Amino acid sequence: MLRLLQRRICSQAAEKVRLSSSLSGNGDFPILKGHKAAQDLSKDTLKSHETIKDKEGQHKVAKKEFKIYRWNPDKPNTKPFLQSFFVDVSTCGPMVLDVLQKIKAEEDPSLSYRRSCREGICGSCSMNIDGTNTVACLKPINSDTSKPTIITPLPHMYVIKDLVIDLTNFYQQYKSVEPWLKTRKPPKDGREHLQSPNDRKKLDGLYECILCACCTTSCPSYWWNPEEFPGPAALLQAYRWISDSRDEFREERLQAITEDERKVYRCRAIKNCTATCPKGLNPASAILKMKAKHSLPDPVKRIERA
Amino acid sequence: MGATKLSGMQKQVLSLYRGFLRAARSKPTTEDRKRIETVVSTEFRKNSKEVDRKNFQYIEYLLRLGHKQLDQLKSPDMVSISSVKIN
Repeated sequence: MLRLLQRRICSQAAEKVRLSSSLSGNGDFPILKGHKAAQDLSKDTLKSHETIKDKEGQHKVAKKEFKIYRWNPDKPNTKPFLQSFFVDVSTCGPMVLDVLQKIKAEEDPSLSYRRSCREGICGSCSMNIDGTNTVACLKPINSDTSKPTIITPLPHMYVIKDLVIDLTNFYQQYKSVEPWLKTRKPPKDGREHLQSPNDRKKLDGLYECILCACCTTSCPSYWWNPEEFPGPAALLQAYRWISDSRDEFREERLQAITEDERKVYRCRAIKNCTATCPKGLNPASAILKMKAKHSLPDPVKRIERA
Repeated sequence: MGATKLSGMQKQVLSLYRGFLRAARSKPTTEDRKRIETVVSTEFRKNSKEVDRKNFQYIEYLLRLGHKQLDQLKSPDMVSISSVKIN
């Protein structure tokens, strides 16, 4: 009986996958429902994939030029330069990270870059691709073979080698926000700090941050003051802990982040961060909400007469 | 002493060198101290001869690397450093 049920469930799921994975479809993947950033990404990938296929479904050879920033500290007298690589994108995976892997495997093993999960959750492979900061594992290749794709490290960051940058300042700023639960009393039932589903919903759009540093390195305010300004990623996480109902130091956190001109108020609402976030998060709105929380008093407070 | 004024970058390099020597002084045995001092001084002297004065990118890279190594060395668990030459 159980086996019959299993077989039916398996075939229903398989049917859905088969329908949605037809590449000539409109890219309506039911599993991506509610995730606009992922839906846009999948549409782009399908579009790129269409251009590589021939009418009979055969792959035609399509050599695309990739210009990648190179600098080697072991050869200190050479200045940084953009090296051109020609890759057949029809024999390569759809994402820019696949191209980098192919180049490193076949052409130049000395090409250095960070990578880990290949699915956009670790935030290691963040770099500047064609002028936009994204994670390489989620950025589909622009299969227009007439124009080269330019890959450079995240802007205004110190380069260690090729596409690898120094992110210690970024991580220290994240640490300065104190991104852990702070409570005065132990939990009520002695085991867990409970939270209602409505309170948990307030964290949506805040907890998904993968700390890829794309937003922070796209902010001009951060470029001009990297030691002082914590950056959109750290401020987004600060807001995540301010809006967590389980945390008992919410007011102190807000006060610490808004007390001087160097933290939240360095933000000039340039909104580069929101435009470039590979996960579709909105740090600009979180910062705006923190500014609003600081300037407007709580609506329930009574105004005492002198 | 140098008659001309030291540039900002030269001051940074010298303060890093001083930081290393001070860290060496805080180590327990004289042997460890001597080893750190010799390794650090040979490294700095070699780089001062080989690296072009105007190669700011490489000098800043070496300064950042040196600061990270100094932070590691300052911790009381670190006893000494050594370097090996590979041809």
